[in-house]
Amino acid sequence: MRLLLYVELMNSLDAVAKLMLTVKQGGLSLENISINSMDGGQRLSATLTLVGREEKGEWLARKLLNFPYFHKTRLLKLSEPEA
Amino acid sequence: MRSADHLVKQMRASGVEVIFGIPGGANMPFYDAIINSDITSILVRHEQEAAHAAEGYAKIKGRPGICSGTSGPGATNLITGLVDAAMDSVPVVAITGQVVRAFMGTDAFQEADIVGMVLPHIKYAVTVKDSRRLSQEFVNAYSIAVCNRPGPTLLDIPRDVQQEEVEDDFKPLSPEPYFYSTPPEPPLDAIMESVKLMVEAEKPVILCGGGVIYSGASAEVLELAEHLACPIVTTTMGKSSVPENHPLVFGVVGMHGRVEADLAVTESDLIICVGSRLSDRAVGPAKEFERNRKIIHIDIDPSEFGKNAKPTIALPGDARRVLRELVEYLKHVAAKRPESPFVQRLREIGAAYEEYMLSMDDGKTLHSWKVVDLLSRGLPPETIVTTGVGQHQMWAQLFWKSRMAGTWITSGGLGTMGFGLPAALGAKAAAPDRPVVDLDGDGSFIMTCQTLACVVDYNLPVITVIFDNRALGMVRQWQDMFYNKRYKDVDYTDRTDLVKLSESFGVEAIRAESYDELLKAVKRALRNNQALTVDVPVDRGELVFPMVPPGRWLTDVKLPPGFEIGARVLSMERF
Repeated sequence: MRLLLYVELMNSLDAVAKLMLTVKQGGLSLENISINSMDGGQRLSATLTLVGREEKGEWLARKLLNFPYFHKTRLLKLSEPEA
Repeated sequence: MRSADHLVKQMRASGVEVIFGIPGGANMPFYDAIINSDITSILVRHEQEAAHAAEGYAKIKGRPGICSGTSGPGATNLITGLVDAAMDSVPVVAITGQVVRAFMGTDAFQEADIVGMVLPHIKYAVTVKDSRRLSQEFVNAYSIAVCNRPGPTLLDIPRDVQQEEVEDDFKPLSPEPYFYSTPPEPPLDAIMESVKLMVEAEKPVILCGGGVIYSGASAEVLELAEHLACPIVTTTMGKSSVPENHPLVFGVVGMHGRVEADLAVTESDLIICVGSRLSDRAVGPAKEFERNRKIIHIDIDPSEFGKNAKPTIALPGDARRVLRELVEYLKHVAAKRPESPFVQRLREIGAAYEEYMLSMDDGKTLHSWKVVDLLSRGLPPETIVTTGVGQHQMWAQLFWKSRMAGTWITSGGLGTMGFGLPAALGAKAAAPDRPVVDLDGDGSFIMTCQTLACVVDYNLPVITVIFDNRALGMVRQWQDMFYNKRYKDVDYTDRTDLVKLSESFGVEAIRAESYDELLKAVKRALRNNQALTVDVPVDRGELVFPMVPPGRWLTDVKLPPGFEIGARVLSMERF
């Protein structure tokens, strides 16, 4: 399953590193990532294309919100599981 | 004023009373500032102890424990304790020194990227490079450590930041946005649907995790169980969430769970899981756990829903509040149930297991489980028990009967040997008037035994009972059962005299040769408020049963050899 994850996060390299480490913990693989600054550089937005189990994507979107680095997450399914 | 002084003032205003740690080159301004405050600093002998002591302190106080180390090795020595705290959701704030800003990134003496190292296992970690932000960053870290699902945080502070002058405009600060949030709340229809499942269930069971203790939801759990007349079982971390002398409480479930607790789960048609991440050690393979039963999962951390086992209904929120809603609604729609034959049978099986184990006596050696049972019966209910990790920990979870909430402190998730004694030190610092007993193994004890120096230095008299089999007993048990008794690097020699070792730190110690001698010594130490180490020689060949082999379902439990009712235990169809 390909998943699109949108994250708004603190503008810090630690936050970016934590994001990638949590993706790793979820056992998801990364197809694409785009990170941009927003709010005049106060925050970052990250858009990740991930491959893995849908429930792991859901876990990731929820898990990130346990950490103050991450302010908002949205998960979108891009493709159905293969038959 | 120096920013370190501002920080310490803020820490005091936040309620910090005690810090466990070791000073060094990079956190000296911080320690210098502590001199001018009424915060007590406890000088440990290794930073791992500081982190575990902070965990023990936090568990008793219900607010973050604080530990500190200098840069480099001081900071890296904290890591095991911080990961332990993350696994068991314990609020701990670590404050580490860092090399001066100009030297960062140059491989300077004692430089280590501690923030980078702890990131996978921490709620929040930051290197504070702006001295004007230091106190605010502490308040943020302190707040988020205990907010919703607790966990560890870390502030890394370059030495020059600590020394920098800041405005003397002290006023207590509040956490910034995202460092505090209210717990989630379950939708009303999910509450109603959950109650419907409870009413329909024939054999509901409540499974309590550590979240019940954090939430203070013991009374609500008992009220729900009494209305449903259903068994309560706990995870290792949930032990002491409910009094284990209550007739509906059947002890710890899992790999080394009580027979009756594992049976309650396997026979259930509905499990109400409260504040538990449903680890493999507790519930076995998720597919088996999900099969033939419905699952209601209550947790403050929504990411736990479906992580290990898929719930029929997920109820996000604070356990106490969610349970209160469930109980109120349940009482409106269903009458209190009478006690079921299922519960009666579980009680009989538990009693039979206990009777069988406690009747064992070869007249030669002391048996670990009997020692635990003896202490459990002989010590007051407010006694706080900590443990190391290994066979003794499993005997303790099987035979120690917690009677008050939050009196059981162990390393459940990470399984950190050496946890017991420093955690006991921290618990004693938090509750100096309560008995604190560390039930330890010789392998675990020797990893952090230098904590005894602090026990004496700070007059924090904990009692350490060492189940001394001169072996890494649990590893030995696995080699016995799964590696054809090919023992490798699990047996210690007799050279290390644990009595003399303890005495060398200034702690009285005895080697107990009988149950009577053991109990008398412990009671005397409690009466006199004295530290004591009791070395209890136990048989190296002891195996902890029940045991569910790794990766297997709870019905595959191996019972103690000769436990006659085993066959009947596993056949409960008629109930």
